[in-house]
Amino acid sequence: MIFQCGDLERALRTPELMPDARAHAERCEHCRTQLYLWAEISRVAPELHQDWESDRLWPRIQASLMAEPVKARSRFSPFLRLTLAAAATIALAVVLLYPRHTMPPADELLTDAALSQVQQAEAAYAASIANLAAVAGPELQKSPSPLSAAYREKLTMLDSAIAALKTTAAQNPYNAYLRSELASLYGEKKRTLEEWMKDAKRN
Amino acid sequence: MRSVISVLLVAACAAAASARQEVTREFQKTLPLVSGRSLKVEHSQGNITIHTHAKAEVDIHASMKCSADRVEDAREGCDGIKILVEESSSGVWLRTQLPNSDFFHGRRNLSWAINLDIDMPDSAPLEARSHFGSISVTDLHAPAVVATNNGKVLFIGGRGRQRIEDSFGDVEVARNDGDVTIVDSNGRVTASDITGALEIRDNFGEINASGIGKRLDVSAGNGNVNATSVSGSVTISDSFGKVMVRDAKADVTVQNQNGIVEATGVTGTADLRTSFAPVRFSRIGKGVTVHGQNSEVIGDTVGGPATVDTSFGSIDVRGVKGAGRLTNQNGNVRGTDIGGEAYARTSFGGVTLEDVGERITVDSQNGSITVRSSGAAKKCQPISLSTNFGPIKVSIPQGVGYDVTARTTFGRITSQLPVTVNGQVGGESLSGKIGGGGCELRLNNSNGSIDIVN
Repeated sequence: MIFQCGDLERALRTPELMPDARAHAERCEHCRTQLYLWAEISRVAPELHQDWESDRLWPRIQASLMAEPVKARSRFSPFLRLTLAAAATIALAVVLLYPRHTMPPADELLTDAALSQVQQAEAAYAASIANLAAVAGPELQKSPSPLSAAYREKLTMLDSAIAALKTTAAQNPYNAYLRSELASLYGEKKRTLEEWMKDAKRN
Repeated sequence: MRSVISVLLVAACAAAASARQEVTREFQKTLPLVSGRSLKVEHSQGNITIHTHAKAEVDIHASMKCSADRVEDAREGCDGIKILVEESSSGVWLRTQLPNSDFFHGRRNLSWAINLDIDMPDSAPLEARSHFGSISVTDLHAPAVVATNNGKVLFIGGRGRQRIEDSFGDVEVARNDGDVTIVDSNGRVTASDITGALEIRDNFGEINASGIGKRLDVSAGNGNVNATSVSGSVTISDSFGKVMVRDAKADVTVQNQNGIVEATGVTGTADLRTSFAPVRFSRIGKGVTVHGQNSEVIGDTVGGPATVDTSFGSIDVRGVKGAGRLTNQNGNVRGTDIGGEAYARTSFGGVTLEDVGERITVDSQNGSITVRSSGAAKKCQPISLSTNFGPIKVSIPQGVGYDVTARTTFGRITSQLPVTVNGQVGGESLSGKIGGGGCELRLNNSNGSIDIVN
C-alpha cells in the first residue's frame, strides 16, 4: 500500500494498517507528530480515570435521608401524615416546577429538624466537592489551555459566591431561600468540576 | 442534590410540629408619586414584586416572617426590620434595613424572610436593587434599572430603555417596547419580543433571544447562544458554547472559539468564525464568509459569494449564486452549483467542483482534483487545475472549444474528447485544441494522471 497522510485516520481505526502508517511516519513529520499524540493519549487516558468517594457517597446520603422520615413517621397520625405528604407534594411541585413568568418563593423559614438535615446534607455535599477538587484541582491549576482557564474563572466566581452566601446564611440560618440558593451553588460547583474532569479525559 | 435539599426544605416547611416560634408582620404604606418622579427600591434577602397602575401613587406592602427559639425573640426580630420610605423631589426611596449584628446578642437562631409587593405608576422610572432575592416587574412603561444577585429577574410587558443586571440568577425579559441591556453572570438569559435593540453580556450561562426588532449584540462565554427572528444586525461573540442564528433580517457576525456555529435564514451577509468546531450555514441572502480552524464547514444556498477558509476539516458548499472561494489545509474541498467563479485550494485533501458557472481555478497539493461540468453552460469557462500526488479528472462543457495545455511528470494524459494536437505529442504533456479552441484549459500535475472526460 502506498500510504498517504489522508490514510492516517483510517489506520488508527484499523490495526492492520498501522505498520504502513508507522513506515510512512518515519518519512513524514506531520504524521509522525499525529501518531505520537495518539500514542500519548492512549497512554495517559487510563491514568485519568479516577473513582472517588462521591460515587458511593451520594447513594449513602440519599439512603440516610430516605431513612429519616421513616423514623419520624410513627410520631404522626395517619391523617396528619397524609396531610403533610399532600402539603409537601404541593409545595415541592411549586418549588421545582414553578411555571414561566413566576418567581421562586422566598418567604419560607425552616424548622430545627429541617435545618439540621439540610446542614448535614450541605456538609456532605461540601465534603464531596472537596474530594472532587482534590482530584481535579492540581491538573486544573497547571493546565495552560483556554478551556481550563475558563473553568478556573468559573470556579473562582462560584467559590466567591458560595462564601458570600454562607456568610449571609449564617446570619439568617433558617431562611429556606438562602439555603436553596446555597445548594444550587454547591451543585453548580460539583457539576463544573465533573465537566472539567470529563473534558480533560476527552482532550 | 438540589432536589434532595428542596425536598427537605419543603417538607420541613409543611410540617406542623416545630419547636421554633414564628411570627409575621405586615407593612403597608401609600405615597403620592407624581409624573416625572421615580421610584427607587433597595432590598435584601427576599423577593420584590412590582406591578403598575394608572394612579399617581405608590402602594407598598411588605410581608415579614420571623422565627426564633422564643416567640418574643421572633417578634422583636420582625420589629427590628425597618421598612424605610423617604420622599424627595426626585421621587420615593424605599429600602429595607435589617437589624445590625448587635441585635442578635441574646436572640439565638433568629431568622427572617421579607417580601415586597409594590404597585407603582406605570409611567414612573424605576430603580430596583436587591441581594439574595428575585425581582419581578410587570407592565412598566418607563425606563428601569433592575439588579440583583442569587435571584431571578422577570421583566414583562415593559416600555422604554431597560437595564437588567444579575449574577447567579436567571433573567427573563418578555415584550419590551424599547432597547434592553442585560448583564448577567452564571445565569440563563431569555429575551423575547423586544422591539428595540438588545444587548446581552453573560458568562457561563445560556442565552436565548427571539423576536428582536433592532440590533442584537451578544457577548457570551462558556454558554450556548440561540438567536431567532432578529430584524436588525446580529453580532455574537462566544467561546466554548454553541451559537445558533435563525431567521435574521440583516447581517450576521459570529466570532466563536471552540464552539459550533450555525446560521440559517440570514437575509444579509454572514461572517462566521470559530475554531475546533464545525460551521454550518444555509439560506444566506447576500454572501457568506467563514473562517475556521480545525473546523468542518458545511453550507448551502447562498445568494451572493461564499468565501470559506479552514484547516483540518472538510469543506462542502452547495448552491452559491456568486463566486466561491474555498481554501483549506489538510482537508477535502467540495463545491457544487457555484454560479460565479470558483477558486479552490487545499493540501492533503481532494478537491471536487461540480456545476460551476464561470472560471475554475484549483491549486492543490497532495490531493486529487475532480471537476465536473453540468453540460448546461455553453459559454467559455476557463479552467486551470494544478496539483501533485493525485489524479486530475475534468469534464468540460459540451460545445465549447478549448485550448488545452496539460502536463504531468509521472503519469499519463488521456482525453475522451478529440484533441487536435499542436507540436510534440508525449504521454506526459499535451498541447492542442478541443473543438475550435479559444477557451483556456490548463492542467498541471506531477505524480498523477490527467483525464479529460465527457
